[in-house]
Amino acid sequence: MKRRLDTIRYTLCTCLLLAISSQTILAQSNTSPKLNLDSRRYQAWTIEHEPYRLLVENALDEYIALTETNLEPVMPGDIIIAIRSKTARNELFQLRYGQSAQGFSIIEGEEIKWILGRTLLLTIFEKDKYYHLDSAIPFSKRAVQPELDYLATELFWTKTDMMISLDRAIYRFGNTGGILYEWGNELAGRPYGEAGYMRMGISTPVFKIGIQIPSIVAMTNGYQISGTDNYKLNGGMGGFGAFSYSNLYGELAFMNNTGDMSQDPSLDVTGLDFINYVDFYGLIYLNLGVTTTRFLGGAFQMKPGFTFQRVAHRKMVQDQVESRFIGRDGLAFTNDATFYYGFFLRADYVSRLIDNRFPRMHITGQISGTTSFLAKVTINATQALGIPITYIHYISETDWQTGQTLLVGVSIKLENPLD
Amino acid sequence: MIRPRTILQLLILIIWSMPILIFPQEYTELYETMDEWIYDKDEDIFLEPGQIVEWAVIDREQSRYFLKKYLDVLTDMDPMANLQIQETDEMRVKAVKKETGGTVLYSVNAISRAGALNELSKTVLVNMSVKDIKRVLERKYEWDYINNLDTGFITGDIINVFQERNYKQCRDAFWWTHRRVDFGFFPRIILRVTPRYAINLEFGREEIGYPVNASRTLNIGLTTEVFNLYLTVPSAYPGISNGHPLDGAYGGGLKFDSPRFGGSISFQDLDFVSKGDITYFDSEHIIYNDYSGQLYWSFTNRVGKPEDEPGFGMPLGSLRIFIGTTLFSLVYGYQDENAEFITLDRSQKMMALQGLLRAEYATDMDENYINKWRFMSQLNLGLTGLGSVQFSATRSIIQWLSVSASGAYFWSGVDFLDSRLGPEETYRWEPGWYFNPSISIYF
Repeated sequence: MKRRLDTIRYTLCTCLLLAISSQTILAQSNTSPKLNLDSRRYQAWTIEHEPYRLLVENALDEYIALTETNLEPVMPGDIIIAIRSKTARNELFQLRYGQSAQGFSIIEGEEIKWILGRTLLLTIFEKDKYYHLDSAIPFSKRAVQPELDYLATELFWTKTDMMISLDRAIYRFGNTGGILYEWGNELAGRPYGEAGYMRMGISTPVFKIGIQIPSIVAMTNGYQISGTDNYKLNGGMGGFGAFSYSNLYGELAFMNNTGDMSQDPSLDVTGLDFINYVDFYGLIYLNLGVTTTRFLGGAFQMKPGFTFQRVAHRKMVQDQVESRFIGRDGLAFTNDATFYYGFFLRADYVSRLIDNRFPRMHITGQISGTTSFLAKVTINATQALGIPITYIHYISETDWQTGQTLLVGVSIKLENPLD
Repeated sequence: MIRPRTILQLLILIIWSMPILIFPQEYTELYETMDEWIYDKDEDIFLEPGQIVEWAVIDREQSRYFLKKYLDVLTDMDPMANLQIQETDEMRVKAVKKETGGTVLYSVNAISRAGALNELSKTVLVNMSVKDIKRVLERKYEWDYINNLDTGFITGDIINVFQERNYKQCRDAFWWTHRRVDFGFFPRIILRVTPRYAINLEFGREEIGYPVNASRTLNIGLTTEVFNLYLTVPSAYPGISNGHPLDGAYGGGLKFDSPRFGGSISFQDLDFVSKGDITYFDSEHIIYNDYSGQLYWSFTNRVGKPEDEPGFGMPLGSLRIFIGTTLFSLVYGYQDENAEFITLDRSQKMMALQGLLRAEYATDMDENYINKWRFMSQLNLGLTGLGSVQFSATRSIIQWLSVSASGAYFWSGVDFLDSRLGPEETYRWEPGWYFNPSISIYF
C-alpha cells in the first residue's frame, strides 16, 4: 500500500514538474516580435530626416560592437520604421529596419532603450518634430511582400541606381532624389510618342515635378494596326507634378502652345491646320494591392480612380497659333477645346520575384477614362534587361487618336557595383 | 534492474535542467585574462576618432550594483581606503572599440551629488569579476549620451559651421499647422482632420508672389506631409490696397515640399467651369495667371540666442531659406457683352521667368506647440523688371490666439497689347501694393 502511494506521489510530482517546466520553456520561447500590428493601437512612420537616421545607424553599430547580438547593421538602402503605441508616452514599441522585399529586423521592448539611449529615443519618439512619412508596413498581414513592394516602387520611383527605358529614365542621387525623363504618359493612356510631349524634372520616392516639352524623339517604335497615321497629338510647353503618398496617387499637368511652334516635330505629321494638344490633365487613384499564393503566385494591384483631360484645338495662321472651331471632318466644335473625364482603372500583376529583385513577367491592363484601353506585358530577361510590349486601343475616335497601336520598348536597370 | 523510482528521479532531473540546457546563461568570453577586458591607456595613446564610445548610465540599479561591487573589492584590497565614491553616484562609462573586434573598458567615472568626478581605479577594476565588467560594457540597460556633440540633435541642430537644423518645426509653421485647427480671419484656415491629412483654405497665391488680396483666388485643398493638392476658385478678400489685383479663375494646383527640394504647379482657366459667374476687379481689363510652375532648393539653419543668454538678439529659432525659380504666365483680356472672355495679349516668355528668394523664420515651439514669432519674406525678381517683395509677421499672444500682418509691393507694372486702343497700343497693368492685418485662433 505504501509503495503504491509512493508511486502515485512520484507520478503527481513528475506531472507537476513537467507542467511547470513546459510552461517555463514555452514562456521563454514565446518572445518573437509581434509582426502584424493593429493600426488602431499603433502609429508607424519612417525616419526620413537624414541626421536622425544616421544617429540610429550609429547607435545600432555601437550596440553590435558592444554586445553579442544577431542584429544586422542598417544598410544604406534600408528604411527605418519607428512604431509607438497610442497609449504609451515617451517609449517606442518597435524599431524595424530593412526592406519590404527582403524583410525587416525587429527590435522591441527594453532592447530599444539599450540601443538608442534616452535622448535619441525621445527624439525619435517625437515624430512631429522631424521629417517622417507615415508607414503602413507594420499593419500589413504579411511582413515581407516583395512583389507588392516592387509594384508600389517601380511605377513611380526605382530601387536601382539608374533606370533607362525608352519611355522613362531615372538617375538617382542616393535614396532621396534623382533626375527624371519621361516620353509620353502611360497612366494617361498615351505612352511613348502617343502623347506628343516629353517630360524632364526631379523625382523623389514621394513626388516628382518638372517641365513638359514637345516630343523631340522622332523614332518609330511600333506599328499602327488600324487608324489614320496623321491623327496624332502635338506637344507644347508646360509643367507637371505627381505624388505617391501612402496609397494615394495624384497627378496634374498643364501645357500651352501659344507662340512659335517650330520646335514641335509632330507638326510635320499632323500638319499646321489641325493642331491638338492636351492642355491640362489630372489623375487621382488609390492603390489596392494583394499578394497571392494560390493563383499563379506573385501580386496583384488594382488602381481605381478618376481622370480628366482637356484637348485644345488650334491652328497655325501666319506663324501664330489661333483657336480652331472646325474639325478635320468639317464639323464645328462647340469650343476650342474638348473636355473629357471618366473612371480610371489599372490592374497590375507581377510574377514571383526572382532573388527578391525582379519579376520575370509584369502584366498591365488599364482604362483611362474615355481615352484608351491599354495592355502591356513586360518580360524581364534579367534584372538589367526587360522588353515591354504595349497595345493601345483608343476608345473614342477623334481627330487626334484613332484605331489601335502596338509599341515595343526596352528597359535597362543598372546598379552601382560599389553598393 | 532499474527501479521505477530511479527512472522518475532521472526524468525529473532532465526536465528541471531543460530550460538551462536550451537557454544557457553563461557568457561566451572574448578575452582570456582580466587585463584584456580593461584598456591599457599607456599602451596606445593615439586612439582614432570614433573608437571611444562614451555614455552615462541612467539605470540607477545598474550603477548602484556596479559601484557596490567596486567598493566591496576596494575595501577587501584596502580596508583603510578613503571612499570618495558612493553607491548613489552617477556612473559614466568609456569603452574602446578594438580594430580586431570586441570592446574593452577604457574608464569608469562616478559623479557625486555635489558634482565631483572621480575615476574608478584600474587596479580595483581588474580585480572585479569579468561578469560585472562585461555587464557594464554590454550596455544592456538604460543609458544616455553625454556631451553636446551627442546631444546637439535634441533641438534639431547639426553641429557644424553652418548650424544646420532640422527643417520640420519651421516648415510646419508655414506649410500647415502644429495644432489641430488654425483658423485665420481669413488669409488661411487649416483643419488637421487626422495627423496625416489636413484641409486647407488659403486666399491668394503666396508662392508666386501674389498673397492674400493681391490675387482674387481661394485655394481649397488637401494637405499632407509632402504635398498640397488644391482647387482654385475665384474669390475676393477685402484688405487695404492700392492696385489692380490678379483676377481669379477656376483651376487647380499641386505643391510639394521636402527638406531640400520642393515646388508647385498650377493652372487656371476662365473657360474651365463657368465664365458668367465670375466677378472681375475690372471687367474691361482682366489679368489672370493661367499657369505657373516653381522649383526650389532650401536649407534650414539655427538663428538667434536662447532666452537665458544675456544680450540682445532674435529668439532662438529656425531660418529656412529658399532659392528657386518660377515660371508663370499672365493673360490679359476683357469680358464682352456675352460674358465671354476675349484674350488680347499674354505675357512674354522672358517675363514669365522669375527668380525666387524666400526666407521663413519661426521661433522654437514652446511646450504648447506654439511658435511665438513667425516671419516670412519673399522676393520675386523678373528678368524684365517685373518683381515684387512680400512679407508676413505673426505673433502668438496667448495659447490660442495670434495676430498677423502681411503685405506685398510690386515695383513695376506690365504693358499688355490692347487692340481696342489701337494697333501697338498698350494697357499698363499696375499691381500696386497690398496690406492685410488678421487674427488667428488655434485649438
